[in-house]
Amino acid sequence: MLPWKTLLIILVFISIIRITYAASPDCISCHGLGGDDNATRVNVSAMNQTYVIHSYLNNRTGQPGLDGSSYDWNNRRCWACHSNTGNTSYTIVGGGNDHPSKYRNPRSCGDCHRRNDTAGSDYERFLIPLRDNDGIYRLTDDYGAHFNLTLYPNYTNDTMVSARKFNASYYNMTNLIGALDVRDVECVVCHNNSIGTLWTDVNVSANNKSRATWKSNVSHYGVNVSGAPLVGSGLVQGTPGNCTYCHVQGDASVRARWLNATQIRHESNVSHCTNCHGKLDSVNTLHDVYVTKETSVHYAFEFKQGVDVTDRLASCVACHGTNMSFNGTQPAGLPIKICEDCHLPDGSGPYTNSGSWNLRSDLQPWSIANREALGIPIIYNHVPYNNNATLNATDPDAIRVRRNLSNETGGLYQPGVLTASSCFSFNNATGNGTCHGVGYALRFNASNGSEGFFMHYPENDQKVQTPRSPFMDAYVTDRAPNTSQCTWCHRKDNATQRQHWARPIQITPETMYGAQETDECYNCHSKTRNQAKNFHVRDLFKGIRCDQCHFNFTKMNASYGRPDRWVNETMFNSSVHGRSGIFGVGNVLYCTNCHTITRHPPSEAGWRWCEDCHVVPPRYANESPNIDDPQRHNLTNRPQNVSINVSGVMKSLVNVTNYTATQEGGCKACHSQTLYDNARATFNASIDKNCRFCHTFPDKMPGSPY
Amino acid sequence: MRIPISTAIFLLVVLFVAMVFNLPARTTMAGSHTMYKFRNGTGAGYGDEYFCEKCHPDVVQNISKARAHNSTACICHGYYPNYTKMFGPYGESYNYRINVKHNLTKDIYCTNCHTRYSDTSGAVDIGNARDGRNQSAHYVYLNSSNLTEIYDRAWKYFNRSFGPLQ
Repeated sequence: MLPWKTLLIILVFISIIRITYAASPDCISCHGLGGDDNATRVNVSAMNQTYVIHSYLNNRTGQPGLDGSSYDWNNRRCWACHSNTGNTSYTIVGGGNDHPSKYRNPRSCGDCHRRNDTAGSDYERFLIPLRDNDGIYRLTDDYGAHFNLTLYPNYTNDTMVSARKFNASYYNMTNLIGALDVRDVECVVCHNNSIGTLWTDVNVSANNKSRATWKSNVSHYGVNVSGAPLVGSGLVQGTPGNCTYCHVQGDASVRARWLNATQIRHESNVSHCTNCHGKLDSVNTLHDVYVTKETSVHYAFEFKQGVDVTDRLASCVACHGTNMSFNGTQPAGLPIKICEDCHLPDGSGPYTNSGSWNLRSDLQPWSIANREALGIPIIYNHVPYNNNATLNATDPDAIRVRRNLSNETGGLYQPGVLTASSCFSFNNATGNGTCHGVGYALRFNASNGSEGFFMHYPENDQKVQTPRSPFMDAYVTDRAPNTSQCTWCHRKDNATQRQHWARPIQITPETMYGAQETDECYNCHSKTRNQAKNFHVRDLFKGIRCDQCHFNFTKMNASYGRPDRWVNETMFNSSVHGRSGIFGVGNVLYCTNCHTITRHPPSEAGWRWCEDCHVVPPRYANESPNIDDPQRHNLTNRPQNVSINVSGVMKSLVNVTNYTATQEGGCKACHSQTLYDNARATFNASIDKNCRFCHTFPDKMPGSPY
Repeated sequence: MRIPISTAIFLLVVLFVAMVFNLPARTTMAGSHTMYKFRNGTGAGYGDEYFCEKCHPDVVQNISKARAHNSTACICHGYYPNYTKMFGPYGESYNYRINVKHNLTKDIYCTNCHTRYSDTSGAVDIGNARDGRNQSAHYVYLNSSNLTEIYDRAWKYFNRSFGPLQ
């Protein structure tokens, strides 16, 4: 055993060694997996995988035998990002034993992968994979759709800037990114998804997070488009169809992983994304300059068939012809083509014989099939034809809209003058209009700044009180409120705001047969019973009634496999509750009078049984119900004529037991809300214990002979 | 003390006679009620309410004032002695009393009487080989305008001439 003095000397010596341990260009000797226990660790082997984005980083530097470096060549990647400012080679370590200046704050993504930086010699030493038009490798172009917006904080000509700003807490990555340069945050959000198993191997399995390189995982282990898992997404050259991998319809969880990618809600044939989003079939990466984001509804649509580059002028000719006039007047016989000409099912299409422009002959005869094949939206619903009813002189607030088709000349935006299209109609005198014609400012003001949606472009032109031309300057459907918000327009008490949205029909729970929320709308108004892609699709209906299915045996039997839910229409109509019943025509009961909750199938909690209406409940002197008296011997065949006192208001039995907007009716009109809620908390449809679980029918009672 | 057998027999006979003549009932119902006496009421329609009223005055008072069932007495529970005064199924007069079964019940469907079940199977034939018993409320035909048919259904129900109702 060593004497204690000897042991002390050894410990002091070891400490001195630790204190004076010199930093070295040979980074991995300490920071590799086999390095110093106290050093931050990286998995050099993983970084060397050919599909890792930085596997070849800085490979012109420090290669043994070429420029004299004696260090392990794997160090070159460390030097690229962690070297002193201005250096990227093995000379990074300044004098003495200091770590380099970027030891703990290395170069970030944007330091190399961005446009408008002067490419110096240092940068040329990197193999940055993206090259700009001048031959210098950079990330992207100003107009690329996927470039890192936060690199350009002054870039505001894009409504999605705010939406794309990264919310660290939302992604729950605060602990991961820490004080990472904010410019890189958005890169990390997407590319962090490419780390895959490398992340797991290095940082999680090691079970020593204090040594893991949390903040640099993308830089160290991110994979390129040829590596998993991005290769599975198809995010490779010439496959624009995979736009939907990120911009997927409906699945918010997927879009969230990709920086809340815009949800595609317009009709789309993804093989023709090029029509509006650039030459996707020739791009190298998602960051390519040719990946463009639409700025308005017709900005990039390629009307000129066969011409490779996007030319907005083609849009002009499509609607105005070659004899176009820009003051709103057209030569005789050449009316302006309007929205309806191209987008209604029976529209005639744009001008097709405009000199040498040769506009989309492939779309002749402008059939629905041709248009759908190219993803040109066809408007089946929410066309405000019905507002024609208000088109009269006695209604000065009427929205001046009509369904104009070709050969009907439109007018200027003047009070009392019909606008060309029902899509963007606007009345200057009243400020009322249809969806694509009212400026943001008006709608913004109408909702006191809380619910300002707008379809008119540009965003920065909020002070504009008169509409520009929505033909060119309107947003696509994706920017409008989506179909998860039917009630945003149709249950709006603010009459002024409703006028700005073409006076949508104001619905109430009563007229919705008890429905309260938008998702209940789908049962009757969507063919698929699911949320429609947008407001204009064919799948939407003005309304579907119960009898359209339940009186049809073929549908209930063959289509839905529920013949037991078929109701014989003739027999029902001849019943006492039908059209030939005791109430006579006009007093017929509708399905929803008894099946009062319209969730489909309607919950039993909302069913009304015979006694709900026909029992005259025992009452006190003031006609309020005596709920402690259970007898039901007093029956009436005309419940609508019997009233009871409910909270001081006399109401007929029918209205008391009906389900209403405020839910003041139904069982809870007289019985305890608390007891009801307590019961429902335990027994409810989610566990297949409906009303009849407790309130059993006679033939279900134990010992019943029936 | 021993009672002579003859005295015992005499006392039993006296007791039996006293019981017979003091209790108004002739038999015992199979349900929860003891039937004291069959009263062939003379009042049209509701004379027999007074029988139930002996114990259920509040209920009878209530149903007498009822708007829809003021003449039905207690038929929903299976008791309507005057039924013999009415035509039975197929327009014939049956010498059959519902309360012969004496099986009073609280298991009551409105549709037991008001829906047109099959005379033979009890099913509600709605076509397409479907039985509408599970949605009988959709096919309520019978009301005060066709009382005979209502009682016909009641007779079938309490006679259990067909299967379980739903």
